[in-house]
Amino acid sequence: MSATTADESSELRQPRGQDKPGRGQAVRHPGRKGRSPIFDAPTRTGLVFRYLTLTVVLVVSIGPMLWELSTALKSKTEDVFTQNIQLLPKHPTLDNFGQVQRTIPVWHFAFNSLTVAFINVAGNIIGATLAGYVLARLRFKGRKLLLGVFVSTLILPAEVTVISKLQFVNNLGLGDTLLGVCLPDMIAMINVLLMRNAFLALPKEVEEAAIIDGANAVQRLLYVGLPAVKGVLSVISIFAFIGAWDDFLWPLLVLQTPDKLTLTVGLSYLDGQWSHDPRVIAAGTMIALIPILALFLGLQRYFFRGVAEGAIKG
Amino acid sequence: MRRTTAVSAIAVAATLLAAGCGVGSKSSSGDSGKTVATTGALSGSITFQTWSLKNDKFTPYFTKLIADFKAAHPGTDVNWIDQPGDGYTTKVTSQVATGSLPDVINLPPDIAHAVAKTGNLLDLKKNVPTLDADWVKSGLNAYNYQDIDKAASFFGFPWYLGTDVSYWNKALMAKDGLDATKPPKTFDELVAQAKIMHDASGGKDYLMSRAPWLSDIANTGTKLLTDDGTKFAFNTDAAAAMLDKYTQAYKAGYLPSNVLDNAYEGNSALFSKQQVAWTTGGGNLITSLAQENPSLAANVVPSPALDTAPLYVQGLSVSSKSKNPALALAFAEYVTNNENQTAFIKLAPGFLPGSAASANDPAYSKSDGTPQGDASVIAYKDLTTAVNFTPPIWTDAMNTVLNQEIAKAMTGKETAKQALDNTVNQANALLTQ
Amino acid sequence: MRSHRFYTPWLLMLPALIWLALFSVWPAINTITLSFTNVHQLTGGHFIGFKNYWLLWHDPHIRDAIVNTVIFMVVCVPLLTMLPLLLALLVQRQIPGIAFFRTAFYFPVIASAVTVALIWKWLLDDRGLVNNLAQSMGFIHKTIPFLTDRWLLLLSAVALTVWKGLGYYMVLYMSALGSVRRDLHEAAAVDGAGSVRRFWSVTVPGVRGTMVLIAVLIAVNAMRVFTELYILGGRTGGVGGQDVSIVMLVQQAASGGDGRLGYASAISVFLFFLTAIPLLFLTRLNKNAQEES
Repeated sequence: MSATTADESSELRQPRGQDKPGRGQAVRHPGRKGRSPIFDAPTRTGLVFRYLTLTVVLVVSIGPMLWELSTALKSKTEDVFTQNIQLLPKHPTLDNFGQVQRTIPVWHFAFNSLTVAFINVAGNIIGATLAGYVLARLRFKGRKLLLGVFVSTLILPAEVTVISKLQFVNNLGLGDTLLGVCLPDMIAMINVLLMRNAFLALPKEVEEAAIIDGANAVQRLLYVGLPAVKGVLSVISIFAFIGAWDDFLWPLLVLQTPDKLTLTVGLSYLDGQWSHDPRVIAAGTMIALIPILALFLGLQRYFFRGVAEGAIKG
Repeated sequence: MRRTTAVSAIAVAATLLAAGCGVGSKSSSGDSGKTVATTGALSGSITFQTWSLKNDKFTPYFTKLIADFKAAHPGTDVNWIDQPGDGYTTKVTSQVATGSLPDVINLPPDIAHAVAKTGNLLDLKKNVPTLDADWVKSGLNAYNYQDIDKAASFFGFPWYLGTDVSYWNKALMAKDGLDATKPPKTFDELVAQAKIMHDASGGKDYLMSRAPWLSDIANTGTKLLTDDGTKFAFNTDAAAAMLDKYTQAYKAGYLPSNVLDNAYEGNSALFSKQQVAWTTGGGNLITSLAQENPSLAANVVPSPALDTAPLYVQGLSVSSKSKNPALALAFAEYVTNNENQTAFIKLAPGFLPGSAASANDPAYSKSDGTPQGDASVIAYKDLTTAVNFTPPIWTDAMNTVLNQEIAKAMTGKETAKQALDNTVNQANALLTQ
Repeated sequence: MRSHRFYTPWLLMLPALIWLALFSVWPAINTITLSFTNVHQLTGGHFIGFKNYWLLWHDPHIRDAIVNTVIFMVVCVPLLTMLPLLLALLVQRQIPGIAFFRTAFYFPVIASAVTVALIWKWLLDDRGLVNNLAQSMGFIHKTIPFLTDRWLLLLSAVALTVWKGLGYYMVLYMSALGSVRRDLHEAAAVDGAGSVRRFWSVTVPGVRGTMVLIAVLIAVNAMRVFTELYILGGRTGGVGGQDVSIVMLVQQAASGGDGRLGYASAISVFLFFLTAIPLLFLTRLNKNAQEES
């Protein structure tokens, strides 16, 4: 096992010696069937097997992205839609990215999208955490009923829940504003349920100790609850960000002024009846992917942070 | 792809409801019939909305167009906005529902029909005395609706017209012993050549590339509507015979199986991938093919559409709720006048202006010798006889039914006559719902 | 001892409650109202009682839609509940390059529908990769009609759904695995439990809350299936419309300038009640499991 860094997940911080009793047990108890893929130190074959499996899933996962990337890099003289897919561009070029920039103010649109996405992330973190904590940890009259209502909003077909958005936003005077774009998804009910689920995993004893110490609900949420749900917080941040970033129809309906458009709407100008160059469209899609990738790469190490980690740190 | 239509549709309905103008009240016929005083000097500002025309190609044209207009009418301002190709029906619908319809709007006839029904479009017949003389008749007719005040009104200036041209893959046809310079001219010839191609390639190559549609039914001489124009009646024997021919061709393996589900790709996508050697498409298809698959574009030969060509119209409409109708009307007339339309079409090969004066312009009947040039001339010639097959009362839902029933007939689940009967019955039922 | 004042929960939930009311509850009421009218996309309408529901009962496609949707859900729920968990376990250990794999596994979730359609058709077409491979290896002699046969198309759409959902639910499981207690694993290992047994006796109970939530999400999303069928089967719902889903019917009814919103709303309301059944079942299942443990 290589040297650990501060960011690596908790199981790596265990001293190596801890694995030894496990091995010893294996000798003493021949009945032990296998090694844990998580907690035992990886053997060489185990590691090879693991990478092999990862690679198989990888091949299955990245096809469309690879095709898009290869299309974005193809030069104008190369065919795009062919019977057999050509993944390697014969004459790779970055021209298509330049053309995206020349055709639409892509950085300006990206800034608008970032604004919307960050407001959404903030709204969801605050709103869903508060409500999720209450539903999981506080007892009050009507809790079960309320939980039922939250769950049943999941059933509502998305087709239905958009119903009165436009009307509200226009009546609030938020038509054609970025805030109007943010509004409906600023607190998504599914995130409330995810946060509730995360807080449920917190052991009762920890919170009872805090109550005895005289901590009020908000203090318990901040100092006891939050540290244990970092993983889920990072997950809902990703969901909220991607949801806002990828949305097309809603910003299209709300926005009118050209310089307020979000990136997804702006990029659709590359795909018109009169100019439809799949290479440029793909280049635009690749540009739009960058922030998602950056965020995901940055946050993925926090995904596994949960109650168990807090308990270990004790 | 998103569930855009359904989502927005319901959203809009809710808006209508909440605004108190939906349930229980018939939509106001609005101000469509009003006359606009056009005598005074123009002033103020309007919004002008185009559909998918803001790009390298057209932006300079519109910038200059608007600048020239403002120079001719000092004190006026035109705010140009453009909507992306995706989701336009939804966008316009939401604009109508929230009262934010732009003053001058680029609308194809089907969307214009839905908007005109709500009284939100200005009747041009009442306001433009020279309407019949200055714009192409076939184009104008596309904006004239039987179900709205007995077709007395016209709701759009024809702007640019398009049709379908046949395109053939020269190399693929040559490989299987066909000559793309002598393409089929009728449906029967098409089937005959498809058989040759099928047999020569051992079933690997296809010539025919699409299932029949409304236009094919109309081309059998069948009238789509009853005489009073209120109901569908295209379940004729001639139409059934046509569908039978398609069914036999499909059974014999002359068409790829994926033409039946009308899925994501149309016949031009199959053509791009060189799975089929024939496609239909607008007059500019070669230009866009050259963008996608340059090596294929060189192999494409155009020819006139089989039978009567379909007519596609784009037009400019004026909002009846405009705060500055005089300016809106003047600007719409200005954009669609002969001079400005001619300049516009120079940028759009394969299309034709909707102004009457251009119909006799010899410039359009000369090809520059390139396949694209040939296609433009073919489109120009066909446009004089092209017909807008789609009745205004034909909806998306009916289109789905038609496609489904045709697929059932072609896979032998029901007879051609049954399929057409079912379609007509369901479509007529939809009219009353 | 009271842990909080009576108003604290409501105060803390206030933002979420406002959003719940404005963007979930109120829209639901609106849809129900609309379902009793013949309102169209742009033109108004009036109250018509239960006629839309009567029409729904007689809709030639509703039976196929229900069958397809239910099959879809029944197949998707177990697959998407288990596979992402295994995937999350696979990427849990911090080995070199794992960040790259985690990110790449999420790609299908964010890939654009146009590209997904293109790639999947390239795989499943009559001339597609799968058919070509199978033929050249001599497994089959006739092409497999993945995209035109009624049941194969449905199965292909299930495969597409699983492929697209893996990364999404994997991420949810990743955050849940952070709460599985390591000491339980070690204790079980000391007791001689193999990895398979520890998976069932430690990991699964440890993430059970999340698992139920995920199963609910999958069930709900499967009942609302649209995109995957649309990508592979087109707007008509496969050849002859046998591969329609309920939401596809909503979409077909409501689309276009003349869309029938009243009818589309009635289908939506019907779907709401239809979805409530598996949901209640899953909640009951969870309750029983909780009582057992």
